[in-house]
Amino acid sequence: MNPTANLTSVTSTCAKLHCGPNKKQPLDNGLPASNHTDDLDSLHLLAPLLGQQYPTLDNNVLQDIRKFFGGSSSAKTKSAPSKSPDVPKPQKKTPKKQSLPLSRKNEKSEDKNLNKSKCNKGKTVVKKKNRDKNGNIEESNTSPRAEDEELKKKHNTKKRKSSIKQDDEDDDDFDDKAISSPEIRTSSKKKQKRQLYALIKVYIFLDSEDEEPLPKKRAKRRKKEYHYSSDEENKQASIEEAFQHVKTSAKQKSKSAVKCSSPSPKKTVNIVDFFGTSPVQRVERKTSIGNHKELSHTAQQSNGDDFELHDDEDFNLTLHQLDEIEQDEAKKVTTPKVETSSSLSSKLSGKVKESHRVQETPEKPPKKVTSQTGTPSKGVTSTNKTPSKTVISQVTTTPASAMTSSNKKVSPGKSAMKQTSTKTSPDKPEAKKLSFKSYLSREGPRLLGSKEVPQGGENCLEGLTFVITGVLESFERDEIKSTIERYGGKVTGSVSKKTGYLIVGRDAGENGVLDLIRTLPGKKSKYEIAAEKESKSTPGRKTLSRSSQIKKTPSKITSSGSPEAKTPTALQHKDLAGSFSGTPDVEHSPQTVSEGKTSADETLLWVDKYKPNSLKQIIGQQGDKSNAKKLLHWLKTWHRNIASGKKPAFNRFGDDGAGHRAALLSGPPGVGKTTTTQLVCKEAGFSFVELNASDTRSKKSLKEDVAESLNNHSLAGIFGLHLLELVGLIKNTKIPIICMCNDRNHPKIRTLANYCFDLRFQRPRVEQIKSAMMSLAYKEGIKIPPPALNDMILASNQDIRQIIHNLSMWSVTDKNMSFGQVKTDAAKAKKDLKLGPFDVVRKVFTSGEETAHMTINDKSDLFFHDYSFGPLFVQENYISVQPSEARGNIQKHLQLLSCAADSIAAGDRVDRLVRGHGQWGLLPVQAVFASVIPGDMMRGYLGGQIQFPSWLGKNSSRNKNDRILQELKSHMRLRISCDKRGLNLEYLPHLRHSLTLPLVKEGGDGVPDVIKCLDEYNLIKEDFDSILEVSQWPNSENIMSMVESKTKAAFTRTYNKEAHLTPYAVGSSTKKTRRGGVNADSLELGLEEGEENQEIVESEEEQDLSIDNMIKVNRFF
Amino acid sequence: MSLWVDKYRPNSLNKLDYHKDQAAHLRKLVQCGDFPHLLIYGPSGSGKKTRIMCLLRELYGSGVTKLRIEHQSFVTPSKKKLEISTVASNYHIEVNPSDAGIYDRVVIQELLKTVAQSHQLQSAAQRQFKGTYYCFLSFSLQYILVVLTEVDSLTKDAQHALRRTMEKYMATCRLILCCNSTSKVIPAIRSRCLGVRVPAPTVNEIIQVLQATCKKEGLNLPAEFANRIAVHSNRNLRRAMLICEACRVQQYPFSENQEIIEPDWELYLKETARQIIDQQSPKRLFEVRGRLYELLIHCIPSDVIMKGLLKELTSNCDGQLKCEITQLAAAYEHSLQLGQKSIYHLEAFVAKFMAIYKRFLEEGLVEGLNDFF
Repeated sequence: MNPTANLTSVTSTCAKLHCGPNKKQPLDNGLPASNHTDDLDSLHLLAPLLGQQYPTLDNNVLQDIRKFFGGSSSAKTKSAPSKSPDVPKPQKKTPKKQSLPLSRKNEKSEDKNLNKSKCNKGKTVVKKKNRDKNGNIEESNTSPRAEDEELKKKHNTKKRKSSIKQDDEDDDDFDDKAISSPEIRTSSKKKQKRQLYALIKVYIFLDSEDEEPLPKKRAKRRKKEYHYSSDEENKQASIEEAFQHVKTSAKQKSKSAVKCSSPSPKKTVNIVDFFGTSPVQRVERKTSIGNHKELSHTAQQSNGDDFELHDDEDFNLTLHQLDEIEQDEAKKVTTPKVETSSSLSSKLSGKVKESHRVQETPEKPPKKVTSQTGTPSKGVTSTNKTPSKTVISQVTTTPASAMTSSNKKVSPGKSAMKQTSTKTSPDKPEAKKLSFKSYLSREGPRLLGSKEVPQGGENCLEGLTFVITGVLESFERDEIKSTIERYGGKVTGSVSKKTGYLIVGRDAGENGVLDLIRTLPGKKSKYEIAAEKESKSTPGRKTLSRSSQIKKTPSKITSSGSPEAKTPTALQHKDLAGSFSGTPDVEHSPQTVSEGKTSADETLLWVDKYKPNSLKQIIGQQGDKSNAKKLLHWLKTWHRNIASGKKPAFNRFGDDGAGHRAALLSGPPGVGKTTTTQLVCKEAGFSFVELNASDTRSKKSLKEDVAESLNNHSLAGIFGLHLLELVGLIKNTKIPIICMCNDRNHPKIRTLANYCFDLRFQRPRVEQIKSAMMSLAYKEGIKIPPPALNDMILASNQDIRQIIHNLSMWSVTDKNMSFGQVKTDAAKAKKDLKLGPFDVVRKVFTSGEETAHMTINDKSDLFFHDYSFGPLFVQENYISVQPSEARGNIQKHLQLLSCAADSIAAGDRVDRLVRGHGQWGLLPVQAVFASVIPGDMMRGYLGGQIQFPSWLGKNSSRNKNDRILQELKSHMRLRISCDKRGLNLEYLPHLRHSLTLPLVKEGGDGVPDVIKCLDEYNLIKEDFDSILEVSQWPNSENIMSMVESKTKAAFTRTYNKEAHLTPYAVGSSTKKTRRGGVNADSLELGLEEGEENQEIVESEEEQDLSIDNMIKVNRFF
Repeated sequence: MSLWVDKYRPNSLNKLDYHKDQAAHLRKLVQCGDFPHLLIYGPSGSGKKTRIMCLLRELYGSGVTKLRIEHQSFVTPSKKKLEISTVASNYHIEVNPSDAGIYDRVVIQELLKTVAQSHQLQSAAQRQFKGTYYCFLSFSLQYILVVLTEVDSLTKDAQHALRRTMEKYMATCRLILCCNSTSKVIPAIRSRCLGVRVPAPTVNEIIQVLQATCKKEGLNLPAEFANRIAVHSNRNLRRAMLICEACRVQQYPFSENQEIIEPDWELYLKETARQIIDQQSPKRLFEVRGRLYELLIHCIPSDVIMKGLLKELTSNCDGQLKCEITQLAAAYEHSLQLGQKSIYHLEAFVAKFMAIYKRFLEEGLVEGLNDFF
């Protein structure tokens, strides 16, 4: 924004305001949408205008409006409320120079713009923009002229009820709008789209220089006015949705504007000017219609022609009727919304109010006005006279709107959204598909990093809410988001009524933000301001709560003489709140109550200092179904339940824990388990003994301790405790026991959990913590940007204790924490979360918000949580993932699986290098192969349970079999020539047959054959078993099951009776254990005891023999 | 009652059934007294061990057949104790260093060192003892023979250690290395040895052996059936003998079209391959993984699994796909050798095959439809 063009900017914006609708009409008629980008700012204007037309039509309504104005917004109306003839009066009272000039100016510039636009129509976007700039420049040049004209017109208006005139103008606008709005609704969607385009085009054209403020200002004003009337009369209370949004945006504007403290009193007059008697309307109208026609012609529109033809009264009437119907519909919608907004605003208002108060000195507004428009100071006086400052605050929106630069898309609300959406996607399903396709295939930022983020003032975007859509040219979305947040702005996911700006991608949308940052003056954060205010405020005033203040505001309005004091809208509240900035009555945030403590508590850690003192203060435990409430209930009914011998219910849901003798609180550290317990005990009137496992480690001491204590006690940190002892205690306790642990799923705890009322503490939500932390920061006088606080909370993983510690630590150096500083600190303090392999593998494969923004480093970090287990888990579970990329296509799915498997195999090769050859430097490579690539390939839905790697089990049984084979081979070595592998593949299947078939076929008679065979191959009985074991396959039946047990017994008996010479020395120790195994076997087979004794004797004999055997063997040589 | 394969194993070079020229060469080699290190290689079941034993017997007489099992213990540099069982006669010692796993290098160094050094004293006595019987050999008896089996599964470390030891103790001992393939034996070792390749017997040779064996057992083996066994054994004489005996147990007298008993693991492997062909889906891949695990648990070597799978899979593919699959299998087998966990590579192969085969089937379907219209 050019500071030089202060004056001109105002004029031009006014012009914009006026010619906007004029131009709009032809466009509404269906001008083919040029490829101009949509400027949502236009909607700001349109929406209010749309709503505004009604008052002009209905005389009663008009009167009401006048009434309203007289009451609430301007001094003039006060003097002559509710009478139409008096309307001009207020104008006389109010400095005409202010209001009229503006409107005149508007007209003037409007004409100019119109001319320009005429010229520009049909040309390409860029050209239009350029021209627009030129036009603006021209305007600035001509502004003095415009002023002259304004003066003249002032006189004129005096003569012929200028106010009415202006109203007419406005009415024209409204009419246009009215025409457009039914059109939009009724006409086909394509048409609508086009129209929207057109609308947008015009507005862009108009707004391309940095002069949006007025439209917004206006819009807000309009809105407000309209709103008043609607509330009062219930006739026109309903407005389009868009209208609502405008309201909200305007609200925001006003907020920011107020902070900038540039209230321009002209507005007050303007509002009145907009409303006049209907007759004059016509005259103005014609001119505007003429404009429309011209415009449309120049634009060479085909669709719009018929519309133009209908610019007679009848048509307008019908249109109005249409609109009224819409109104009625909308009424229902709007009224509740208004209420909600009011409540919202009431919440917000406190802070805003404070800011109002701080910066809004009564002298300021006039100054601004003079500087900007050069209007005489009369206006100032008049505004000062007016008791309500609502208007002032409204007026102050100018700077805010001015800040929104040409390229920024300002979306006033849903209507804007509607338009954009219709623009991008035609509503037909095919079109939707198409647009979705194009969405899928859209490219990323083309000029990434091409724009430098300007250095803006601190918090310059505060109070503004942004919605980002589309692909921005030179920023990643995250980037722009963090930039906005850095300057205090807020980025939301979807458009709501709070949304102030819609940043539309794929054109220069983001420039707007940058411009905002560049142009918006730095300001103090509202929190900061509030804090300052706080410190200044005297203790006597502290008692007033915000809500009470808000309730009071209406009454104050009445006292100030406005008949329409009852104003439930949010906007009003806020403005009213602002209006009372001058009054000595200041509301205070509840936090101040504890302020007095601070000096005394200085030595305490913050964690202790701000420890909750009542159950209600515990973060995240306020709800009726919160753990704290449950615990309290349980504790209160404990004695009754136990006395009545109630058995614990095993219903997981709705269990109030009745009958449990103990409660088990589980949850991550820092969520307030201990605090809750202490407070609950206090609340329930129990005193408690706290035992910690780290104090009482032995079973005995625990028993003693607990036995001594007669009261309730909480056992904090029961890991390492003797859980059985504890369970024993719980079973027989006469007093409630509360146990606490961190890991509910720890195997040790599971046993305990069966005896306890299970309460699981979840981490509080970020918002819950945030509000508490803000208040803490408040009390400590720390200035911290809320987005940064968000980061802090997330970094500490919602551990309240740690957040407080961090706050306390970081605030030591500087109480004013900058966004960047906190962000880096938070990143540093990020809790190093150790994920178990189950969590890791889930994170590797699942798609979603959490994993969408992971960099390759984050992904490979997952691998390093446990680099020996991680790959195993990945390998075990990658098959069960449903990759989102495959989209149900089995062939694609298989391909992805194959790629993942290849990568895992490659990872295994690296693993061999790492572990086999000690090349640990290759671990990151392994991370990529074994975790990152499979994760990327298969990313999707990981349903079901995550399996523990079966490789471990399989490998160990493989090793066992390998050992068996090794032993077999060494036993048979003298007889066979082959190696282990040949033994396994070739010998064993046949040996198995030749060893078992005789038993199966011949029963007891086959026993000698089998034993002979065993001896031949130097095998012992255990080898027989292991041969059967190793060669047993799932696809073949167990051959030994076919052998009769009698035969088995006979076989064992016969084998044990004989002495078997083996060429190998079997280690006596191992042999004995094996013998034991045989004994067990024989027992199974039903041998008598006596035989067993015999067996043992034999085994000893055999050992001797085997020793002999060795000697014998040696004798050969 | 030992199996035929062991019962009728020839125990002298004269009695060998095939490769008689080679047997004559070996005899001549031994008769002239000294001989270099030998590297005997050939596929499994071709008779390498049999030839080595015959050679030893030729060299030392029947004393060599008196074998004993000895346990030797070694201490690794990391103080780990290893127990290795060796088979030894007075004249030679047979050891499979790969039993020690990754510590095979220690085994080779320590064992050869102790054997080569301590044998000096003994040799004199032996020579005397021997001299009475085999005068003409007495001068060569200062050598002790060390037979190393499964040389191809030695680690590279162990092979390099071996190469050094081979030169160092050349004066006191001779090595006979036995392996399936020389491709995994480092060239340095190959060049230090006289390579003796024992090719697998031809089908006809196997048939002859089978016929001869059955004759000795007093059985009548139909020629056609013998042929089938020989073919099925994949030119592995040991397997052929075992199959033959198994068939004898199952049914005698033999009939021409008697069913040949296949080992369970082969059936299991074939079933696995069939499942892969049947259906290509993630679920099936998961099931196949389970089956592969089962095979691995039973210590079926992964290359055998790979080969078995490939054989079955390619029998269901047409020409071009066959080439593609075979090439892939080779690549995966290679990566399997380089890797640690063979299941990863087998599974990757199966997954790849499934992807390709699915694509192939669907393309075929589309083409078929196109043809149809």
